[in-house]
Amino acid sequence: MAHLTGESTERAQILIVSAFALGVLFVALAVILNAAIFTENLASRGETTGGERVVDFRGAIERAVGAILTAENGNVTDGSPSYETLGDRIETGTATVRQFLGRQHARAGATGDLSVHSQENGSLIRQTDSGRNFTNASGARADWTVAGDVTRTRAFALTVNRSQLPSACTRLTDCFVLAVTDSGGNTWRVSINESNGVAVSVDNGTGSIGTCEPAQSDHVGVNITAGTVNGTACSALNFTEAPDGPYDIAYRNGDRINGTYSLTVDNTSVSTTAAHLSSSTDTDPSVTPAIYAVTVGYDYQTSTLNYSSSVRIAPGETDG
Amino acid sequence: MDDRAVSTALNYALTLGIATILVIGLLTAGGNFVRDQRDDVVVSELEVIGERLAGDLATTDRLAQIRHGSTSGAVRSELPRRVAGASYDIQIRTSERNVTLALTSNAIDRTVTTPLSNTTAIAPTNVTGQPLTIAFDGGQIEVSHA
Repeated sequence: MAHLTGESTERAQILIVSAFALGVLFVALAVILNAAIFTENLASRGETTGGERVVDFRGAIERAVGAILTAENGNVTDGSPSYETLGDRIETGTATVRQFLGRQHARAGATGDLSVHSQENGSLIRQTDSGRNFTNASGARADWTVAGDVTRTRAFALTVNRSQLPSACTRLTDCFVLAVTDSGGNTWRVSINESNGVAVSVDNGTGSIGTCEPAQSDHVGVNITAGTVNGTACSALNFTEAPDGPYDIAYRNGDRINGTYSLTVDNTSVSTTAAHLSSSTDTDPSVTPAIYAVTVGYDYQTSTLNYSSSVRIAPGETDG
Repeated sequence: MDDRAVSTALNYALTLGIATILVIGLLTAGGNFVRDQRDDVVVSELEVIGERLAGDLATTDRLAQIRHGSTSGAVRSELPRRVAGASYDIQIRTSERNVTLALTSNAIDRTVTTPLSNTTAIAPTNVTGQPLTIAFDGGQIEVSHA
């Protein structure tokens, strides 16, 4: 008990106790403030697992190996390579892609690995002489089957010379027609003629005819699988509306159109049985062995993530 | 006269009394303030942790969706072990494709929930708050301690 008079060391006990309690209170407040700051810090961090880098890696593989696929299929200056040769070339290219992508991702502290798991063989059919019409290799047939018994088609693109395109014909009848027909008789047809530009008409079998905006340039690119005319999307030109495979791809009135075309189909026997195509690229139209698609397996690892999957690469294939 | 020299004692008693009341008032108010702040901080930190876990689950979901063929992977979710000095629990409840993350801290009597919509199924589980591994191997996504 504090004395009322005289010198004492026990004075101001309330002040000491309260100061101590207040001190504890402030320390607690500081701890809580720290937790709040940590929360804000945590909340403002971005996505830390790096999931987008996996998608990035996968996209890079798809683009790079897709480009190799297109290049190796098209590069048949040494005659008609076997599927094994093509596969080896693609594997060599893929190994280079692996090296580059591995180095690039190593800089970000990640390891990426990829290798070709499997390949789907097919055929590349093309005409490269832009002055030639769309008749068969002998030039005798204007109505002919380009590829029969096809399940999948990718990167099907035509380039049409507008100046040589007739206007005095009826679309889908005696103008040029590209027909995709399955064994049940279901058909999807595209007709190209001159009508205030290069006019593309599509009959998807439902009765109504869809048309694309007429293109005005001298050489018009019509991408069947991508659904574009001169790079502009055309909703009527929708390859997913074509019958599911197996189907036949045929040209009608091929003498009423001039230009180039290229398509890759998954039928390997086109090259051996097609009577209408040349097996040498010296003569148009030609058919050569091509890899239709490859499946590439990949692994990706960072300190917070590991992922292993595969991706099927078929450049220019319609989704769905 | 019995009441001589009373004013000094009275003065002293009053001073002590008033000082005590003031100090008690200050400590009570301060204590309540600190407790309220702590509750708020715990709730907001649980919310943030819930959002982060939901984000990591969504990342895993996306990675599981871009698969082709056999796909496997794991994502490490770096969650703190303590929230404002107290441990916490995470409950993953699922109902078809809707997932609810329920986070409870031992410090306060409240549950913070974070809803999540996903495509790949997530296995319901209860885990203690700490760094977690979110794994998938073709089937459903499973959350476990890292």
